[in-house]
Amino acid sequence: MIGVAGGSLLRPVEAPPGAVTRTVTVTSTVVQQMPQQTPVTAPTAMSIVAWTQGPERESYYRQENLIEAAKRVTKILRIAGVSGEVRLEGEYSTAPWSDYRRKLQLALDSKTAPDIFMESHFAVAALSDAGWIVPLDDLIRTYWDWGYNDIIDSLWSAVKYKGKIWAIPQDTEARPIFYRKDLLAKLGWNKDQIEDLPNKILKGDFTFDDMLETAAEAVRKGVVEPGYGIWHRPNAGPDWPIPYLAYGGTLYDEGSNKLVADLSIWSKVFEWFYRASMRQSKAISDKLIGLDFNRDVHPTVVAGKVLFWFGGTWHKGQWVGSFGLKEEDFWKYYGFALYPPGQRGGKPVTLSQPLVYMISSNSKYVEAAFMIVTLATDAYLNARHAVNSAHLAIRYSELSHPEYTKDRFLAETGYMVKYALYQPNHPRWGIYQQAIFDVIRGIEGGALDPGRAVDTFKRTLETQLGGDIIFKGG
Amino acid sequence: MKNDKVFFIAGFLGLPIAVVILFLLAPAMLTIIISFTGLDHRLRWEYVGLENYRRILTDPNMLLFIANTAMFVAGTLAFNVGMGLLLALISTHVIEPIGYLVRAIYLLPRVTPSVVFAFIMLWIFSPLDSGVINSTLIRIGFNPIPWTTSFPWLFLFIVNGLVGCSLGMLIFTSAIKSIPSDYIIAAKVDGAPYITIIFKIIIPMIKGHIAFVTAYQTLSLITSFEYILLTLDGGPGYYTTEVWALAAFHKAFAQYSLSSQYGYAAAMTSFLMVAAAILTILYWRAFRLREMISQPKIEV
Repeated sequence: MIGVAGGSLLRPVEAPPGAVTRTVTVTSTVVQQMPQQTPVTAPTAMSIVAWTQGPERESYYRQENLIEAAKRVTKILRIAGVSGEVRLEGEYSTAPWSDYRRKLQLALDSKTAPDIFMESHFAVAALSDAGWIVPLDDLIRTYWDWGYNDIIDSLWSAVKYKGKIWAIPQDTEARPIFYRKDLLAKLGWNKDQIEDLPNKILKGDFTFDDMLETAAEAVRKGVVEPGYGIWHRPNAGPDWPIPYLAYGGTLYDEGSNKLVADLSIWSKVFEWFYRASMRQSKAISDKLIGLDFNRDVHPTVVAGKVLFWFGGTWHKGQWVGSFGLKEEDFWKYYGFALYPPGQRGGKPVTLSQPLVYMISSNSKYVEAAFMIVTLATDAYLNARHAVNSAHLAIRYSELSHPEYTKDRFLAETGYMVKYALYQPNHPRWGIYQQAIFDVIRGIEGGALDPGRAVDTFKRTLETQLGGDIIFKGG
Repeated sequence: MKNDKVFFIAGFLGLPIAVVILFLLAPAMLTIIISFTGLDHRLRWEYVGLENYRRILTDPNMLLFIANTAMFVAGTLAFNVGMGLLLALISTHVIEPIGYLVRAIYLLPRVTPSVVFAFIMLWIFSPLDSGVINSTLIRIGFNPIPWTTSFPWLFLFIVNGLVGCSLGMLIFTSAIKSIPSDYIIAAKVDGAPYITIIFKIIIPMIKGHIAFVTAYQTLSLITSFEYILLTLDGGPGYYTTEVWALAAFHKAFAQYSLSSQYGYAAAMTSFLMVAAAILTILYWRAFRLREMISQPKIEV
């Protein structure tokens, strides 16, 4: 009862009674009114709600850029003599993806979702099938010259599903292998060899197996502790298909809209993880999966205890921003390269997971929300996000923007996008992604050997994906 | 007269019955219904029959989850009942104020919010040098011990046990206090050592209470996963401490990206409901609980 009484006293301030709240569209009619300077009589306020996700705090421009876009619209209204306001509300989440997605899914299903929200690009499949997001082809066509003509072409394929565009790219990244130069030097590599490693990988002269052998050697010679040769993320995520892609596997068949699993290649991948585990070469610790990303993993990598780190470009942003790594020390101690190919002479790979803005189908202000996103996709605004959080550009003009070009790391990782592959836009891709992690977790934890791993993997995919998956190389 | 009585009973029972139906029966029914669907992250209600149950039976991790659950229930139950008895015995054999104090202190874990308690426990038993116990050990010259990574089950027994023992403690305390003092006095006059009094008089007289606490806490522990989730989250290795209920929770609500499987998790939970029902019947028979709650055969 006290709570109810107190809550009724703490009601948020509402618009004064009699206020008219209607949609304000910045169209030519408002511009025509300008010479007469007649303001609209009743005050108008539009509230657009946006939810964006990190989880790292360095990426808060994802929300900030939307807020700035709304401020710019309000400014234009003021100049035009309209006493209205477009407000961007909502929040930037630093919670883990699982928590953010849980909240988002419940909101989408109950039709209380925010107008704009952030997700991984591949979510277009499941969310559009469920009818929770709005297709954006017409709006993009209408506003093509407002900036969409400048978006890097390859990004459009990440947001297309069943022939329509469902989202707008917010940023992209690459997932390189980071390596510690000082540890390679202790292993006996000279300076030239260390600096040349990315090139060797590009040419296909340094393979995925060579990397494992290097890590195993480092453990044998005591350069790193056992289990600290190669570290990867301690949870599920987009990185897990990369070794499979490095060995030449494909994940998706566009023609039939089905996921693909080449078991002969998965068998090689699981074999590799088995050889890397504590039961064989001791390159990857069996305790790694239980660790916390921020509390345990990043500090250990930043402290220089790990030789190879399967990371992402934004990790450099996090290390410098939140984990006390000085910018000079990053360049002194860390190198980065694509994932080496599985075969000698093969092509190196990486994976990009563009994060995208989507507009929910329960939004009352679809065009206004779209306009906010359009204005937030400005080259400068996106460049400041990219530089602050070490993500990559999404626009051509951003690539040459002075704010972007002054960042050495972004310049040196730019070439990776040419080798970047995407996760498939399939509604049940998340299940495949989780299955990969579960099996590799079992191999590293000592519960599965390679043979049983392939069987378990096949059975899991069969039972959970049914007709949505094609098996090859069985 | 009769009508008044009916209204009276309906009025008093109405609210509890409504609560039971709304918050216990209805969700249970819904869970069983969901277990027959393929409800996943797409939130589509597609009937799949017994597919989920078939998948559970063929999942390679199922035996691991069952073993973990058995380990968890057995260990925590032993801690709960043992510690509860110990505390009850201690707090009834010291002077009243101390007894109250002991019981109040041991009620603290139960009334502390679970997240706060889990954090405190993680801090005390942290495997890093900064943990409370480890930093004390280092201070007095010993090596730190990786508590949660080397002794995960012991850690969980302590965490859950400290919360759970308070129920037993309260029930056993009131039971011990209600034992007619004549028995104890007679035994003391006969010169019985204290241990004999405990094992031959006190414990047999509160057998019914011990049985009830055991039954109640077993059923409660089978479905309990809250403190495991907050502390070890099923780790530290490959599903080391992942109990059945926690696995179901993870499958439904803790997936990284768009792979929530509500139907499958509901099927797992339905298994739990069946197991709990079977255990209830077994306990009912074994401990003759019906006799305990029925009218006494002799008018005292």
